[in-house]
Amino acid sequence: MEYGVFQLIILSIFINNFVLSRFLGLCPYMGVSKQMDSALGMGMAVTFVMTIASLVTWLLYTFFLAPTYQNVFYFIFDTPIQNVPDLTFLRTIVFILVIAALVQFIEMYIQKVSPTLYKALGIYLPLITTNCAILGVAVLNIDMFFKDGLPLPNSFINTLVQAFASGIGFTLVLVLMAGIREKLELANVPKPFRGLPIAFIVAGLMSIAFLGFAGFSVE
Amino acid sequence: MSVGAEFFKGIYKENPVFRLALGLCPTLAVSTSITNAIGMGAAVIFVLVASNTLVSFLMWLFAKTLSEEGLNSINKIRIPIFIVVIASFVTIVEMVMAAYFPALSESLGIFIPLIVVNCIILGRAEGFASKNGIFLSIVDGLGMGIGFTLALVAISFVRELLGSGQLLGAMIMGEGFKPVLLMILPPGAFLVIGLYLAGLNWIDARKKQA
Amino acid sequence: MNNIFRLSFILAIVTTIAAFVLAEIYQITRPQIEIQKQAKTKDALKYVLPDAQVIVPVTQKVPVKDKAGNVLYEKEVVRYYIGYRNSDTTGVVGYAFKAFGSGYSSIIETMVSVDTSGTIKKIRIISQKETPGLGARCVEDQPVNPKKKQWTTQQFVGKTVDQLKVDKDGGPIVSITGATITSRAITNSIREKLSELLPQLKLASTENIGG
Repeated sequence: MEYGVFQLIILSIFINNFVLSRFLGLCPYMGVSKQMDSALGMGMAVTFVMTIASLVTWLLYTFFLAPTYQNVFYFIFDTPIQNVPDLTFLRTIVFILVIAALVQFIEMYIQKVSPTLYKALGIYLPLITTNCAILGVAVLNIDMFFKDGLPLPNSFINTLVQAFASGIGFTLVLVLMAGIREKLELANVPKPFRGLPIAFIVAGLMSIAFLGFAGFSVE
Repeated sequence: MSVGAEFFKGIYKENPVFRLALGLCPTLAVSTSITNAIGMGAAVIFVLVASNTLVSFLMWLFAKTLSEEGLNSINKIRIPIFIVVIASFVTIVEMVMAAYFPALSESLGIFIPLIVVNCIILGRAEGFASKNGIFLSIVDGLGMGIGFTLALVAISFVRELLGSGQLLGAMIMGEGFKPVLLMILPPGAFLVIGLYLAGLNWIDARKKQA
Repeated sequence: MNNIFRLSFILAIVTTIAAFVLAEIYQITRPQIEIQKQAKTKDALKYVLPDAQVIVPVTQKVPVKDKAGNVLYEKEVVRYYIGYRNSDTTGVVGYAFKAFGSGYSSIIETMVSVDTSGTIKKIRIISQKETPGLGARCVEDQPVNPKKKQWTTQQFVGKTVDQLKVDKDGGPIVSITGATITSRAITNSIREKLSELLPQLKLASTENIGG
């Protein structure tokens, strides 16, 4: 399936929204959506890390793991293409390690370069390693933009667009949710529903609203 | 705590999904049918028990063989080592499922590799297995894994029954039943888990009063 | 600093051990994964061409090129399958081919068989990841409620290439309720592939005209 950039943006933000339709990144969605400021900070941190992680995992997958003519064994060591090792089965373990290391580096780097940004994003960064949205988008890119280990046309651009737009979609619903929950604090919610249960019900209603986007044909 | 208590705490009192709100993503995503729920549960039980066992063994081995200083430095890279252990077991599950249960592997999709970031597993490795013996760690892994599976089955029971009128793929509801499509779509997952949590809160409140 | 290198070294060793263990398990499971992949195609072929004793793939060599346009190697790609009634590959009963359509959230792979006059014998959806309850119902081959007009894969039986259009596009194919994109993707992908292949299939009717 070939995607245009605009199609992909609409698909990732609204139709296949990471939280409401793909069920990725639910822990921060439930945990960090009590206040608007922290929701925005978390959303921005996730978008940032998602984009960088997608970039790095795409490079690793194409140049090291997948047995293609871009593989380093082929173009540096001149191995015949049939003998280039297929390391795609190491995908999960490589990706999670890279993401964990990446988050560490980003944290150290931001702390050095921009203390203001660190103040805004810093406390969310350690939480991000185990956020399934990051590994999710990395794996999803491979599933969608590679076929049998070979990159489809425009897979690099599509990967970056999907990662960034999915992050924006995540931020959007996180901020919306925070807005609703701030109001909920003042509402008279039946006792058994207070806290998480009502948050889930609200998420369900939001998901119904987002289902409306599913009627759109993006072709 | 006794062995029995370690086992049963994961099923009700500290149920990872309903009580600790951990591992929500796979819970909501794959609970469209009981078959998926059991498949996911089995995968998580395997990874949980295996990683708990290995983590507990490794920590015991390190404590036996390393000096104080070595132990301190190992402690700094404890979490990455756990992640490698977990990711390896997840990859094993990925490969075995693709080889022997292709239909299940296809319907669980990316949620199999995502078991790696399921907070239950790293949480148990760090919070329990690294501090306890192998036997207790296995029991803890089994209890937590079964608790997770039961929660998944409970949610998918409602969603499959109302959403498609089926249970385990067999038609249950009569001719006149119109499936509530919403239940199988994403909103159904949020609504069902919200209602379950509220129900548990209500039961707890009643117990306290009594 | 020395400490960081030592720790990285330990971590590298742990990871290498894990990679070797996984490589070993991959070697064991890979043949089985390949078999499973082919089993789906085989099952689907048997289903769409039940009266064929032997099914032979017709392949074509496709060059795989790098970005500069140099041919790297040639890959054999199956274009379609021929089903023979007898085990000595005589008596063609029909042809089968795969069609790929972009559905709502996945690529839908369909196995289609046509008889020697080019009309559809049977179809089967091989793989799809459409929305459960909506698009995912495209695999249904029996009507849930026999009284109502609804989507089944059976409705493709006996259709010719010009009839492959969904009701929304003015054709006879009943779409899945709430999943027009999925229905259209399947129907159109079959139509496109069939009209592409028709001139290549040695159809009985054209043979008669020629003879």
